[in-house]
Amino acid sequence: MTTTWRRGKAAVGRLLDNAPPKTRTAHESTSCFPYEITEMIVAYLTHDLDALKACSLTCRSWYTVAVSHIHHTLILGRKTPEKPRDKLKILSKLQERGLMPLVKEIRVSARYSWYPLSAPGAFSHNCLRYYSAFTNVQTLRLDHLDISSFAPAIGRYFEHFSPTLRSIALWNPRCTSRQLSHFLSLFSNLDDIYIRRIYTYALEMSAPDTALVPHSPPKLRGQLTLHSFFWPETWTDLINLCGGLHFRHVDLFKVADCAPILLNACAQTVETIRFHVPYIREYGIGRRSGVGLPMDQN
Amino acid sequence: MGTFSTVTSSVFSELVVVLWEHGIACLPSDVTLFETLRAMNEIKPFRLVFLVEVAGLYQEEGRRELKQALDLVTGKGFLDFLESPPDILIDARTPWF
Repeated sequence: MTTTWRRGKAAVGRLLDNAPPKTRTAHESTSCFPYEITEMIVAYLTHDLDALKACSLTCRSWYTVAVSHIHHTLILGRKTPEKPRDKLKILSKLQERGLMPLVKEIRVSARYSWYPLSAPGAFSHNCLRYYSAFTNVQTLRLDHLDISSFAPAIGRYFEHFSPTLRSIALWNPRCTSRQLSHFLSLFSNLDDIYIRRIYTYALEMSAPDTALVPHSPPKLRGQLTLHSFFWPETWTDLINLCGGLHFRHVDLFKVADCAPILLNACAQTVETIRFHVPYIREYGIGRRSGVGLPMDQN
Repeated sequence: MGTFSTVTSSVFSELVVVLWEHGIACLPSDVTLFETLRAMNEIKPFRLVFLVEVAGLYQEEGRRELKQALDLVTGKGFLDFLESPPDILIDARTPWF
């Protein structure tokens, strides 16, 4: 009888142990998500900054995932006027909070098209110490960069990006052909180049830039996009420096004599060639101006 | 054509023709473009892609118009040198900054 009693007591105990658990709180539920699942969820929101900010406020684990997307791209100098003091405030806040290593892309835009981005304006000594704290920047997009104003000491302002920089986009840079090839040679890990439009007036009359010594051959194994670019000398300089070019994807539009040089240089590595057919609309009717192929004059 | 013949890459596979939306209507009558593409394909065969850059809201309309234009082009035999029909890509035109 004692044995029967003990068996019954054990059976009751097992029943009590198998009772359903109490409901978890929302905090406990989210903290139980594997990190990879949270990453996948937040990855759908990378183009929605407001949603990312809201995610970062929910709990620590979601903050950890969202914050890298929130601070992925730093944009400086858009349409609204920006005093140098305000720019420094943004950079010092980023540094105080340890967020600078999260920045993977920097976009610097001139306020007005006739005020180029030049050394004194955008890269003062105070700004420079902050820029050198960006240790993971992979992409630079620079609008109206006045490369000629930085020469010949341009390395001082941009060299620290060299270990991680993979892609550079220049819109309306002001420079000579030699200054441009020298600037590009600063970045030994550079794969992608995007250049649209080049200012050429008056710059050829500046002091000769024979003192510009190329740094090191960039890799240039990714994409080349050139629109309205007319200096074959830039590419012959880089070809001589790199022993050839290795772009896999080439996108050319209005590049005149550069096209044969570039296609020859990438002949063994190119996978896709993209060219633009320059149809124009005149009096409401479309017509083509030139064939638009890279081997023609367009 | 001499420049194109220097492309010796064994991985070269694709030629992309980029248009803006107002150029689509010109395609069916652009005999010179297709003759040039035919000559290029004889030198080195490739897969042909037509890409239209349009403002974001008009992507579906751009795709439809390009498809109609390419149907006309195919009907005229301008693309009979290709091993497979050309692909269509629509790209939203975005500002650089």
